[in-house]
Amino acid sequence: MVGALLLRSSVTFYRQHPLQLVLSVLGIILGVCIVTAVWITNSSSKRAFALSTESLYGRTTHHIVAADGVDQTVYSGFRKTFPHILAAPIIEGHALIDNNVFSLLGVDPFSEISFQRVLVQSANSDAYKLDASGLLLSSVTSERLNLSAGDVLSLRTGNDTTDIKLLGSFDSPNPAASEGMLIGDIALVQMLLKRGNVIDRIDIIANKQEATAIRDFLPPTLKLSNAAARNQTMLAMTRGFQINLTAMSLLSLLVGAFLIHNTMSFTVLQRRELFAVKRTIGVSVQSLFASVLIEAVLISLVGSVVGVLLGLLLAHQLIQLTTQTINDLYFVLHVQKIWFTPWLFFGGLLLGVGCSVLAALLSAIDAARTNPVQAHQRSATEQKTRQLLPLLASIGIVIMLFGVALATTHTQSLLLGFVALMLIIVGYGLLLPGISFYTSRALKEILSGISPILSMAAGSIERNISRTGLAIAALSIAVSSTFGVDVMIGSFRTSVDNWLGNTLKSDVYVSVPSTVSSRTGGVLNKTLVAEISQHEQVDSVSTGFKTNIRTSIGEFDTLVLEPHNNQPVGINIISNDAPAGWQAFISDKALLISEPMANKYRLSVGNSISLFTELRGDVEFTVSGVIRDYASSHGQMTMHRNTFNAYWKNRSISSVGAIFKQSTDKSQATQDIRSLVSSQNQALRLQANNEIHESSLAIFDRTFEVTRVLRWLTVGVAFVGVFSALLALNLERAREFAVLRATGTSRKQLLVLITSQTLWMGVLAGLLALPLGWAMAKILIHVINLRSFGWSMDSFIPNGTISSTFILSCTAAILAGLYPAWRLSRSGIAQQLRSE
Amino acid sequence: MSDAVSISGLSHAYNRSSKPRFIVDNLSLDVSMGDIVAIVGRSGSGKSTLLNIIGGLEPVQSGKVRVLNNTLNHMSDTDRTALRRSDIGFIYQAFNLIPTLNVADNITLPLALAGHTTRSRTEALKPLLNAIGLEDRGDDYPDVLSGGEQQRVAIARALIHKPAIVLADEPTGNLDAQSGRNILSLLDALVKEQRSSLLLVTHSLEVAQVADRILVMSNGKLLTAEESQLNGSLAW
Repeated sequence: MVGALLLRSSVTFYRQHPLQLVLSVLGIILGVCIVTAVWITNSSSKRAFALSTESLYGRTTHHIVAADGVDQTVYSGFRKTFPHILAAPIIEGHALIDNNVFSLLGVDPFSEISFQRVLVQSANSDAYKLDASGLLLSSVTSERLNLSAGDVLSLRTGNDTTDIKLLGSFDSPNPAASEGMLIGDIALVQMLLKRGNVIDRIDIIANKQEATAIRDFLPPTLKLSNAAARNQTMLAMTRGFQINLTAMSLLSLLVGAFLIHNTMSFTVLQRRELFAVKRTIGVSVQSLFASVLIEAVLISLVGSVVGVLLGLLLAHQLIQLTTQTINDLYFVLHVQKIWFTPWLFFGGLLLGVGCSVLAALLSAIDAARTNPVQAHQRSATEQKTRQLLPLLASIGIVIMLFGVALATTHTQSLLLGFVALMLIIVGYGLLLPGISFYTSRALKEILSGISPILSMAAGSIERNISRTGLAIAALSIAVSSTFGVDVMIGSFRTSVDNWLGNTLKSDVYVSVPSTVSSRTGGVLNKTLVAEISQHEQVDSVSTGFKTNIRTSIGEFDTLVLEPHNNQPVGINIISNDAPAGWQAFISDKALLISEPMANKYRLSVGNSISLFTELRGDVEFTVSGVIRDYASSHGQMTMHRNTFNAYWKNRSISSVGAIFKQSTDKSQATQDIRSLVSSQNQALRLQANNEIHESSLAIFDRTFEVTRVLRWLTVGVAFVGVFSALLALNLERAREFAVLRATGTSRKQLLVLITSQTLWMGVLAGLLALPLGWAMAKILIHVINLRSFGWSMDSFIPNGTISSTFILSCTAAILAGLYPAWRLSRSGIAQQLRSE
Repeated sequence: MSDAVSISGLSHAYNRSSKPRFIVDNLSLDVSMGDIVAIVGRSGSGKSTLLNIIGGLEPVQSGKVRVLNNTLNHMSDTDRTALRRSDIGFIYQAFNLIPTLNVADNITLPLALAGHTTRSRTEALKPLLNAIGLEDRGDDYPDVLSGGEQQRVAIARALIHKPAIVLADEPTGNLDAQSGRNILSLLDALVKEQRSSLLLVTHSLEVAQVADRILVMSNGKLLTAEESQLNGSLAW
């Protein structure tokens, strides 16, 4: 009964303050929307990956692989030795049709039956039509591209274009998984991808005993690898990226939770006297506590439901951006479909409601403990708050120090990194009201002789510190998070920019265009390489070949490098004694490893890694140096061409870089090389170093597009929260402003008073946001990013970031002050004076 | 003697768009400079509305209102505000002190708004604090003062800029009898000392006795005591 009455009272309060209700709900909607959108996006890309691997691997348990492709005779030998074990040869690659990337899968149709892969998963499949005369395309893609059986496709593979017949289509129980998939007979695909007599792998369905028997049978140059482990390795590659997204969403959530707490606190502070009256007439502490919590649950429930649904819409946009990034950096993922499960829905609800209830808990305790006598004494509240400021600041400093200590511990734990970040934010938040109080007091004194209205504005912040302190802290934390993220992205971009400048030392690069950004392409004609190196205007060349090498700790992309005159041109060794490291690299059985590989696998100079070589099976190589490399967060190895040649048969070159002689006219020399390149019967790409520089930065910018979108959404959350807090603060003082109007304050003066007060709050929040934002950036760069990607980088504040942070804070504050100022200056003075 | 307030044919209604309820109906009033006039009437009779119209807080709907030779009908909000700031002091039943300003700041607020320096504000404050007997309470905040003390602060705030007209709306309504009497004598003394006009709205005939002239608000009109046939009761 009492509960119903209290609830009705709450409903009436919000009916009388509809804008405040809308803003509270909007804050929760935005917070929940961002986090669930990231959840849905991450889980959708994982699910897409799972479906893709299911389509590709079906019931496969193991693969037989070699260091550089498996000779096809191995397959026939295997069939003879193990006729009872199910095996299927596979070639995987990529092809382009009208600039659309397709996965090209070469299979043996007869072997496929037992593997339950995409080809035989559906009854409506044209699998029976598969022969060496053409390809099958997934039905979902056929429909999208309006293709049907008998059409001729213009297929680009590596540097060749071939016209090929479409034999038919195949369905899949998960159509999204087969989007963009072409399947052909293995012999045809072998020919299209120019694999000679080599296949990529032999897929096996085998139990433990059979696997042991196969291992014993295989020569050292062949390996039996576990299919599940391979999938895990591939999935782990995207982990850093997904953690980064999650970090951004958690930051938004933290800001959102702080703002929700702020909003809930205001609605309670506003009703302190009302709660006191209720306590006086006998409402119990428990009932009052419960009523505030129920209010929070109801508001957050509405906000969370809408937030999750909007999150679903936002995820549709984010998945486009993340898929592009995964394709750019990791592996080809065609799926752009959203996977939304009831768990995600309820997870989003739980998150929104849980955060709001936690945020409202302190306010509920405050409401329940309201002393009926003191509640009427506003100065008592302010006095109490003022007395608490030194204590709050001290607690804040202790919490911050604890956070700093946690951030600087030598651990790989991301969780501890997040906890450290949170402690620093919360600690700093406790420090802010004290700083705001004393600076406002000083400003009031300074302005008293200059402008009474401006002095009153500053004094008003000091005297209402229980409210203004909270609003300044909320705005400051929200703004600092955007500053921190800006500095993090800016530092990252500058580091990548510098790294590209230090790495791309050749004047021009010639390579075979790859069908996919994340994969290397075909092979350069050796005579072209020789012609370039012997060109009269070329001083020196370096050659590179990108391959994938299996090691005792996983598979790694490896650059086989023949450097310019055996000098470390464009190689940025960051480990100690770089000259000795380079010397070992060119003369010994040694490797240079990238920084993420060193960090993730705790490798340093002098450590050994076992590499699976083509000629001698497993061989130990020594790490001779760690190099800066932002190209891959998974880790990458660099091996000297001579070292590679001693253990592998492959002599291919996939790119060549040329440095022109100093006196050369570079544009003329580039033109000459271009003529050489175009005379080749091969589609090749010639790029000046600045072109590669720019295109690499474009990929970088694309990678952080998602982060930027999330950052703006965080700004949205912050703005709504701060607007709501300042609106409540100003509307609460409606009667006070009416007294001022009655005493002779003009509308303009009132407008100046309110906006200058909120502007000063914005200025304070903006200034105070900078140190916290800087600390956040440091943690994001040196703790979160280092632990998730393995990249170290220097900190830079991008041009205009400080001013834009400041402008953001002031604009949010002024906008938040303008509406109540306008409303209050228009409202009837007599009416405001009458109303309690 | 010139008029402080001159009103003719004033009407004022609430809910004008739907069911208009006339709270002031064709009312006329003249108050000379230095006059102390009490307006008595039942709750809801329109006394406060009349005071708010004179103070420029409510718009003039119909009729003519002149305050200190300024016709309110034709004045902009800015001009009415300027008039209030320089020539009118308000005292309310609910005190309406600003809770986050201390006693000294509350009293000197009109001077601060008019752009007086801190020094001149302090100079003006001292004698008033002495006059209201709160010389050592300047740093206190309103909520630690008693009702009587709060109203004394409100009176000081209404008089610090030496207004020509003081408008007092039930100034003793929230006080006990003794405190009410003290406040009235203080108000009377200060108003007379400054030669201001005082328009006092009350429902208490005892309070109204302080005035030179008592008018009764009834059915939206002002009547003299005789016209209204006051029967000697001390309160409405």
